[in-house]
Amino acid sequence: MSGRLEFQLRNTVEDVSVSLPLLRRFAAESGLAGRQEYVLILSYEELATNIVKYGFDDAAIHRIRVLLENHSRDVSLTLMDDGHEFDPCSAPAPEFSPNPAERMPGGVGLHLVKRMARSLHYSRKNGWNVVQVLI
Amino acid sequence: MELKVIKADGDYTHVALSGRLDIDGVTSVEEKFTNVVSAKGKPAIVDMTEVGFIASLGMRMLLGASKALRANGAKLVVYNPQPVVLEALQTAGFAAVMPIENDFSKALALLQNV
Repeated sequence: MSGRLEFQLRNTVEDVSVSLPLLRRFAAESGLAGRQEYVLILSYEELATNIVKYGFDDAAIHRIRVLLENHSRDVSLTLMDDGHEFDPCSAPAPEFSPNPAERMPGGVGLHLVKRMARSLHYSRKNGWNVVQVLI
Repeated sequence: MELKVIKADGDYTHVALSGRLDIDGVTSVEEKFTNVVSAKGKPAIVDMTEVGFIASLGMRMLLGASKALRANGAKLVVYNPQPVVLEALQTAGFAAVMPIENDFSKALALLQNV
């Protein structure tokens, strides 16, 4: 089954949270299960949260555009934002300190997406960050 | 998201999480989790058998509790995560800082070796 879902959210953690059921419904309607469903929702939560928390240099409300497409062999998730230029593909891998004063290093979420998704592609178009994940 | 307290008295804490540890899941369970696991300062087993999803926010919650226990000379062991959750924990580098065990008696034994 192929399908398509497009929606927008504001740059707030609440909107990311509220939109998670849309992703789950898309996954269910597309017949995704197991690891593929997991990686789709993980990628969305991590990338969208990252944009909301670090993507914008002002306090204004911005719209983040999301496009989900189910091709027969894979699923693509595309996020577009008009924040400052940021290429998640180039973010450094996090390093866990083995010492007892462990702290969650930054960048774990992006690292998970990069390692668990089939591919991650970034481009900058007309002042928009466009990130596409294939799962 | 639910947190079931299986054992809170005695020499270790045993809790079971069930549901999705996404943004909503962490928000709904974090305070109770911290109160039950971190505040007691005793070694803890966190049963992940029924957790179908975890993202970095949920990992941060586990790591925060582990750190609090370690400051008290105690350990947190993650017990029996589902394969894809285990893959995510290992990919994030968790195995290096927090024991993950699928055998309950081994998980218990790990609590003794700080």
